[in-house]
Amino acid sequence: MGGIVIQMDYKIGKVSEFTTNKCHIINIKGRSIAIYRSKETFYAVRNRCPHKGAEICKGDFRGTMLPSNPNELNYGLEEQVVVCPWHGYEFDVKTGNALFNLTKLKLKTYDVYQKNGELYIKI
Amino acid sequence: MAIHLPLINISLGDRYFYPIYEAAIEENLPVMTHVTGAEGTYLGAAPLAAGLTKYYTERYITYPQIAQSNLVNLIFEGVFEKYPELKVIFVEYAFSWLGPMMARMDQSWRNLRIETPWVKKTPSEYVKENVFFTTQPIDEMPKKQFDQMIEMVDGKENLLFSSDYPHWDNDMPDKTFYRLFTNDEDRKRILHDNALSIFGSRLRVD
Repeated sequence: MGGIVIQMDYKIGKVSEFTTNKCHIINIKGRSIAIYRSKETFYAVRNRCPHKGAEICKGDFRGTMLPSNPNELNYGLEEQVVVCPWHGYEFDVKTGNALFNLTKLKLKTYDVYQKNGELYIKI
Repeated sequence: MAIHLPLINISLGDRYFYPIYEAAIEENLPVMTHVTGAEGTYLGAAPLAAGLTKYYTERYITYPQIAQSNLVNLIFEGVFEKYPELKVIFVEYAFSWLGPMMARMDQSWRNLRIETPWVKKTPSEYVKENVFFTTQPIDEMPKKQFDQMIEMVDGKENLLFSSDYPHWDNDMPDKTFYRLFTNDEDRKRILHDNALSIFGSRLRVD
C-alpha cells in the first residue's frame, strides 16, 4: 500500500543565528537534525550516521582529499563534506551519498531555504 | 619466467623497487617473491613481528606475516594505481590468511581513505586484479571450512599450483591438491589457466 507523504515547512530560527563555524542541532518531530552553513548556503542532514548511529553533528564539515595519483594530495570539495566523528565516513552534504563509493549507506538530507531573514526546513 | 625479488627490510611498495616494476612491465614479466628462509634471522632480512623467534616452528608459522605486511604496503602506497599492469605473485607464503586480511583492508580503507586518497578502489579489488598466490603450503582444514576459505580469497582466480616437492613440507603433488580441490573446473584453473594468464606465451603449453 502506498502512503501519502506529507511534507511540511518548519521555521527553525533566524538566519543570523546559524553561524558558519559550527554545526547546529535542531529537533523537529522527534528527529535530531544537523544544520550547516557554508559561505554560499545552508544544508540539513539527519544527525545520525547511517553506519553505526553516531551524531554526525559532532564530526567535521569540511572538504576532503580527492582521489589522486600516488603520493599526491589534492584537497577539494570544501564545505561539501560531512564526516562521521566515529569511523570517518564522508558524505556529500547535498545528496547524503557516501563519497568515493565508501559505502552504499546514505545520510538523510532535508531541504532548507531562507525567507524574510528566517530559515525554514522541509520535513 | 618472472622477476624474483627476495624480500628484505624494505617493503615492496617502496619506490626503491619501482625501476624493477617498470622493467617488469616493459618485459611483460610478473614479479614474484619466494620465502628465502632468511626471514627474521639477521639485520636487513625481512623482519618478523614481535622480534626473534626461538624455534624454527615459530618462524615457519609466522612467515605469512611478511607477505601480509608487503601486500598492505603495495596497496596503500598505490603501486597498483601507478602500475596497473603489474602482477605480483607471493610464493610459499600460504594464503588461508588472505580472506580476513582483505576484509580488514577494505574496512580500514572505508574508515581511513583520506590518508591515502590514491587508493581509489577497495583494497580487495587490487588483490583480485594484481596479486596471486601459490597453493603450497596449503593450510589443511576440514573440507567445508576449506571451501569457504577458497571462496573468501577468490582462490579460483588467484591461485597457482605449487607443491614444493620434495621438501619436507611439500603438498604431495598427486594427493593434497586433488583431495582439497574436487571440482574439475577449479582444478583446471589452478593447475593451468591462471598460470597461463600471468605468464602468457612464455609458458610452454603441451
